[in-house]
Amino acid sequence: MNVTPAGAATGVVRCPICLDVFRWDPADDGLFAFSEEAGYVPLRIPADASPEKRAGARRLAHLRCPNPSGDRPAHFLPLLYTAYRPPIVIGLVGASLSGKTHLLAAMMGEIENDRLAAFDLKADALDPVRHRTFMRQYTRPLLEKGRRLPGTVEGVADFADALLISSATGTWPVAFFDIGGEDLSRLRDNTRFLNGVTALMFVVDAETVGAGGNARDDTYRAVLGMLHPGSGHLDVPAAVVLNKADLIRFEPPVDAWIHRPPADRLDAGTVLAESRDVYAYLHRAGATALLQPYRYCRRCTLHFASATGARARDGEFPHGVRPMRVLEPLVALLAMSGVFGAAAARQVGS
Amino acid sequence: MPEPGRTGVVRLEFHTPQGTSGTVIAEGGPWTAPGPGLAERPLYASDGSTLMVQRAVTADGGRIDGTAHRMLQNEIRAALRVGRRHGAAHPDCLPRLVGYDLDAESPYLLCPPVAGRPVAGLAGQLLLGQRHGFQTALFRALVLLSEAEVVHAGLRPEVVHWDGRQVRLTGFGRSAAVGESYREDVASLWMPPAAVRDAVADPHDDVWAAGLVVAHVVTGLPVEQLAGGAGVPAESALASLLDGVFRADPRRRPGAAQILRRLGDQSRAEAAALDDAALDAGRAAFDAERAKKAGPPAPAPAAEPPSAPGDPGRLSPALLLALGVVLIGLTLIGWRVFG
Repeated sequence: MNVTPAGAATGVVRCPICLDVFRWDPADDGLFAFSEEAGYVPLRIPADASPEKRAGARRLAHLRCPNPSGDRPAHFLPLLYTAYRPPIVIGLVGASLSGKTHLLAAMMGEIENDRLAAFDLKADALDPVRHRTFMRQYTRPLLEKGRRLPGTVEGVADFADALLISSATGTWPVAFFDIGGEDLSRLRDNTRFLNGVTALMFVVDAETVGAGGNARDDTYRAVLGMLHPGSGHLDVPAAVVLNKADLIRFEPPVDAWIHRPPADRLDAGTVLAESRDVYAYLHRAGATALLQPYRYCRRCTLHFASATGARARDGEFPHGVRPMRVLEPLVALLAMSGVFGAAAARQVGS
Repeated sequence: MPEPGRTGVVRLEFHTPQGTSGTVIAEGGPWTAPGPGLAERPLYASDGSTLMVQRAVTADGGRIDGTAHRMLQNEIRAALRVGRRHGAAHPDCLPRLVGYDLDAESPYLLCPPVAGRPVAGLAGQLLLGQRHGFQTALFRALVLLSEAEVVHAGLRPEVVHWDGRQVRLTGFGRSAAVGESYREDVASLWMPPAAVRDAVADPHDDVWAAGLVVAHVVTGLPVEQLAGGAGVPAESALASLLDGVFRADPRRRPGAAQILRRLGDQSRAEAAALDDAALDAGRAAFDAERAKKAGPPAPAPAAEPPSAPGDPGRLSPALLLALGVVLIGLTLIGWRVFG
């Protein structure tokens, strides 16, 4: 694989972590290799290395963000992040315990099982070391050992995992930010990445809906207010995921969706019908505050999903974990971001 | 009176169909195995009467059989759909749920004991009057089931109970909602050949299976000899009743309500759709919000319709020209008068 700078002609990169824009030198200088044992160390590619060897080394290389404004600790980006189209940066938004990390872990597990192939998409790890770490820390304990995951660590300012997603129309780096609910609702410094997100995934805890009426999530108001304080609509694609839908699986209209086999293609009509039913469910429950993303984001879809398919007991899922419809929200966000082409980008979420 | 093999007093906490929590303390009867990965036992009251039945997915080393778990969920889902559709008028012929807990160590459901016995043991034994009562009760149950938008997808003599007056349908483990795909392996000698996993769930598939059950009970012939209605004597009352039931295309089969009418029963109309006014209001709110985001409607076509005679809001160009001439004339006159 030949790794060339973003938009090749310019070599200009916007760091998703500090949001500084910098020009990147596509030469071999200034690259880093990462290992869990040694961390980031300068990468030396011998001048006489064969083209194959050079490409292999660069495939795993990182570059250090110069952070021109000097306001963040040292941080690094996978070189591949800069090598394709403008990245899709997805921010997961939701209160603590809404299930953001479980959802992301289940999503990665489904992707690892090649479930995106049904949508004619291919996914590769953008940063293999980081991806392995995420799978080891989150996806495998959840899916293979049936363990409940700890809540999102507060204060983290880096993306959790990132993929290269390819469709018939191109390849996109896709980065996922999973930030603690407290950080989000208070807009702490580590939520700066929000100003650079290109897609939002709002995660609703189904257990809080209808429990006492007027269900709300302070992170929604905080994030939407920060990104778009005025009137009009926010032009960032958004997906609302009614997570833990297994807990309400027999209620209409949930039962008409959650028992369906996974979708085997993108169908804008089906996405619209499901969005309408999720909206109606939340509306009926009086959870109008949770409908803010639909009201304020110009393009928005709504989904029923369950990261685990069951409730945990004593920190475990004794009958195993069965993710339900966890890829549909991601596929909708990718469609709205143009991964399926311009026509699908217009149809989905509008 | 306690029986050998009883499992002692059990206390179960469960979700009720109304969404509340319930508790039952009862004496557990002996477990039996109604199917792979499933176990079932009666729960007795202190006076020895059967309170309810507990059907559970067996846990093997903490792990449960995925198919058995899905089948238990299908049973719960079917009973809840029937309850939602029929409410206080919940028909006795369809499954009723006391409660369930899918997060228990062995996920389970609780249901009332089923009266009657499977018609598998009654083949060829019903008298003429009993046959008519059985057929009417069976197809009435199917009409009520389709009103709840549920397809049983597993009808056979072993799951159709008859107490001489009422039919009770059981064994909803393979059931699906009308219009969705069958998720279980529904293929059997009792089902139409095209009804297999992933095929669209159609209430007319239940009509086919019920037709075979009726033919089996009336003639006493095994299902192998009845395939596609082959063993039904031509020009018999049974053949008239089941006319069209075994057509390959489900859309060309009669519905259960039509069979009921052939039996002289007009009590049920065709299936009515499930509706929920609160959900419909939510969907309307979605449509309104979506329309708002799409912006104002497109401008009207450029060509304007002709003005209606006497329309005060519109003046024709000729009239405007005439008014203009009059106005200029008056101005000139005024200039001469006052100038």
